[in-house]
Formats: sequence, C-alpha cells, structure tokens
Amino acid sequence: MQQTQPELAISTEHLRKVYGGSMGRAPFVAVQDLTFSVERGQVFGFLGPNGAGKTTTINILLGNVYPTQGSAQLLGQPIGNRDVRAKIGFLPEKFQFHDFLTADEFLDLHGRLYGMSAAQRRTRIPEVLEMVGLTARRHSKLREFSKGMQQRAGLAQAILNDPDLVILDEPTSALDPMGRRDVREIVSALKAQGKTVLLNSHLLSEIEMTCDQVAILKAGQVIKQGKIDDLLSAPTTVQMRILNQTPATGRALEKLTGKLEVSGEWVSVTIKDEAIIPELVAAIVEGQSKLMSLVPMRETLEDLFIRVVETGGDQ
Amino acid sequence: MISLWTIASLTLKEAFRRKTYIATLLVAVIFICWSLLRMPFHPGMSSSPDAMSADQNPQAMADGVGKFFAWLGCGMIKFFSSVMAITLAAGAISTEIDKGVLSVIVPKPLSRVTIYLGKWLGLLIYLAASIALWAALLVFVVWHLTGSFHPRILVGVLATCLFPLLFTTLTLCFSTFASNALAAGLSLIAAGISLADDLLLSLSTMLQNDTLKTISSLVGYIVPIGKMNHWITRGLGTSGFDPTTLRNPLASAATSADLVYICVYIVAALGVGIWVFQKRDL
Repeated sequence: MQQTQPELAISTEHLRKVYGGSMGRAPFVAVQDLTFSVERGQVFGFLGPNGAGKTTTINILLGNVYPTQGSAQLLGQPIGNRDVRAKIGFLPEKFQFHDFLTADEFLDLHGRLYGMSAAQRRTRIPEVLEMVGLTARRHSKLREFSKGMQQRAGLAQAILNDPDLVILDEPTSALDPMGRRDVREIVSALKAQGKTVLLNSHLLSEIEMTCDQVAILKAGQVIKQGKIDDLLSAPTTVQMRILNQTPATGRALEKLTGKLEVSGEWVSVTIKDEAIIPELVAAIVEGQSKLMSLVPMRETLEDLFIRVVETGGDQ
Repeated sequence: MISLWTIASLTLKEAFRRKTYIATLLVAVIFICWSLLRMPFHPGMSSSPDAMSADQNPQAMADGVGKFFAWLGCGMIKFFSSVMAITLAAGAISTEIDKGVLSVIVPKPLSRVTIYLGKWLGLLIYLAASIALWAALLVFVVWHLTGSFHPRILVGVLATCLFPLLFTTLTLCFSTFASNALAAGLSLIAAGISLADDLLLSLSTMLQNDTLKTISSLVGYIVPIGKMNHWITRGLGTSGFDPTTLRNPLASAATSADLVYICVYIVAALGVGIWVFQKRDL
C-alpha cells in the first residue's frame, strides 16, 4: 500500500550559510547543514540556544539572506517565488516600523505591499486590529506605542494578508502575560483555520502549549525534531509521599521500578510507562503503607531542551 | 507599479519625518529676503563690458542684475539640493537595513528592484518639489528686482537638477554597501574629485602640460560635475557676473555628448546600486 506524502509548508535541504571569509575576515558558519520540514497545518516550534542559526534560517526562508549552499521550499515553491510571498506573513525578532505612521496607516501600507485591494484593506485592517487588541489605538502613531503594543501591531501586519504560512520570530518577547495569552489564542485560531505557523521563541512553556512539533537547533544543525508528545514521552519520574514505609512496600516498589530514591517521607521512582502507576498504588496499599500523594513528574520541554542541547541530541 | 509608488510615497514621508523641509524652507526664506532688496546690484563692481554699459543703459543694468541673481540662485539651488540629496540618500538603504525596517518589506511580494527604484523615485520627487519651490521664488525675485521675466533661469535650473539627480543616484548606490556616514563621505569625496577637473585644466594651460590636461579630462569622466556645470552655463548664459567665467576662464562649452555621458553615468550608477542591493544579505 502506498503512503501519501504529507503536504509540506516548509522544507529545507542541507541549508548552509557562511558569513565573511573574504577580505581577510574569518568565516562564520551561521547555519551548518540544515534539513527539516514542516507539514501544512502544523504549529512548529523552532528552538535553539542563542546563535544556533534560527533567525538566519528564517531570514533565508524569507529571502532576506541568501544561502551559501542548499535549497529550501515554501508552500511547495522555491524560496523567493513572488506568488508564495503573498501567502506568507512574517514578524521579525528585531524590528523597527515606520513609527511616524498610525496603526491604521501602517497596516494600510503593508496591505498595499501585499497587493491587497483598497476594499480588502478596508475590511481586513479593522479585523486584525481587533484580533491583536489595538482597535482603540488605531489612530495613534506607532511611536506612541509601548514595545508590547508595537509587537501587537507587528503581529497584525503578519496576519493581515490572511497568510497560509505565518513565521513569527520571538512574537511574545515584549508582551505581558495577557499579551502572550492573546498571541497563543491567535496562533490557535490560525491552526484551526488550517494555517501553518513557524514559531521561534525562547519561552519554552509557550512552545509546549501551542506547538505540534519542534526542531531543536544547535550550531546551525537540527539536533532533535519530532512531535512534542513523542519527545516528552521519555522516562517519567513519580514522586510519592508515603507514611508508615515498610520493607515490603520498598521491595515491591523496587521490583516494579528498579530503583527507589527515598528522602524521609518522600519516595521518588522512575517509570517507563505511566500505565504502571496503579500497580505502584496497589503495592503501597498491600505493603500496609499510607499513600498521601502521588505526582507523576513528566519531563518538560525545558528539561528536554536543556538535556538535548547539553548532550548534543541525536547527533 | 502600485508597490513602486507605495515605496516612493513612504520615502517621501520619511524625508518629511526627518524635517528636511526645514532646509527647503530656509533656502526659500533666503530667496524671499533677496526680493526685499531695494538697491539693484552696482554695475561698477564688474569689469565686464555689459555691466559697464549699464551705467548708461538701465535695461542692460537690469539684465546684469537679473543674471547675477540667476547665477547666485542656481548656485544655491545646486549646493543645497546636492547636500539634501546626499543627506537623504545616504541612509535610505543602509540605515533601514540596520534598523530592521527592510526585513519586513523585502519578504513582501515585490522585487528588490521595485524597493530600490521606489526609494530613488521618492527622494527625487522630494528634491524636485524643493527645487520647484526655489525656482519659482528665484524667478519671482529676479522679476521683482528687474521688472522683467528671465526665462533662461528655468533652463539653468533644469540643468541644475542634474546635480541632485547625480548625487541621489550615486549616494543611494553607496548606501547599498556602506553605512550612512560612509556613503555620505564617499559622495563628498566624489564631489571633491570632480572639483579638480577645472583646476587641473587651468594648471595644464598655465604650465603647458599635456599630462595634467589628460588627467583633468579623466577626472571629468570619473564624476561628471564639470560637464554638468557647463550645461548650467549654457542654460543661464554668461554674463559679467558669471562666477563660472571668473573661476574658470577655460571652461569648455557644453556639448550633447557630455549630456549623453551624464545620463549614461546616472543610469550606470542606478544599475550598479540595484545590482548590489539585489545581491546583498539584509
């Protein structure tokens, strides 16, 4: 039986970007050998420590930077295709918009650059302003905006053209908790509409909440990629508070999990499958001990990130 | 085409934001102040036959005064429009790259050629508007002082427009690879080199040195400011108050070939700027 290939929103093949290397300047490899793909309709998290090559990769995808080697496709077309660009929205990490414009004028300008008609702009601009919570400030100049409000305006610009692919580079870096929640809701809404979102953020808890898949970069290479659920299904720690600990309870737990870490009333075990938890409870009860609490400690994305970056991941 | 005008209008707004209109208004005020002068230029200050005859002929005197102010006005327009062109164009690309403004515009469905040409056009529209205001005031001043309309002023101003056109194109080209200050500096160096054109020609004649004459000719091709000056002279006509004649009595006549060369030079600078902008990373 033939498996159908998923439609890809982004695919890169051995991308490489080297800065310098001429006129006596030492070459700097920003992206080493990057191959990854993002299926359409996914929210994809792009992670990595500072200097891992995330922003350079995004800039290559958007045509701001030319790759030294390799190739990439967006929505099935080579990067730089003008029809595809009309279907992409982008919010850069470091931006400075024309702050002498009002929010309305700013979006009108970018609507024109997207090739939107006047009628489309008239309809769409109030919609996106509402989505990012700037309706009340639509006639204010961007220079009067706080950093967070400017980021909201930038986000409005990124979704103005109703794009199929939205690339957000640190979209919440200047936002307060409410702003971050709003961005999460916008990303969820985009996903519900079948849009693809590439999200580059250092806020791993947000990535964990919003993304389907992640790729972790280090030194310009993908060192781990996969669905978040799969990546985080690694061994889980269970912390229990047990009163009246007996040797029988200890032996039974050791038999089920292999190793116990006991610190007073607290017992910590590592399990490979969460299905074993009811057996742990039964063993404690049978051992005449009292189970006061049981907390399965699942590895967070942050734990995974630190572990993978420090160990080098799958490499 | 819509994108081109969008970028051009954005560049215009950016020029306004930078308050360059203050310079425009300042020069306009100078022209207006001239119109308040009640005493016409004293013909005795010149040794030219035209001006000498002005003592006896009020019409010749009026013509002399008119030509003097036409030359002075065109000189001011040339200087201020060139300075404004360099100031505005120097940061038009490099500063926007540094600030990250272009990183949001380049991914839009428009070519880099459109962005570059839009900026170039926007700057030229701004400078053209300033020059139009100054030219109108200059014509008024000369009419006010002499009581007659001097149409050659308009031809002279038209030739003067070559200066901001050249400096905008050249500086914008430098701005694609150099920082704001460096791009402005390179343009000033180019202007400095071109000043050597007339100087070397005078020296070559005085010293009867053919090598200097050849170098002078070469310098005139590196930055064709001398050739553009000849066209201003052709536009305004020479007079007893003609500062070009005083500065360089050996100034050659403007030729069509020179004008073609100037146009080719500007188109080439535009082409190089577009090519570099298309090839560079942001």
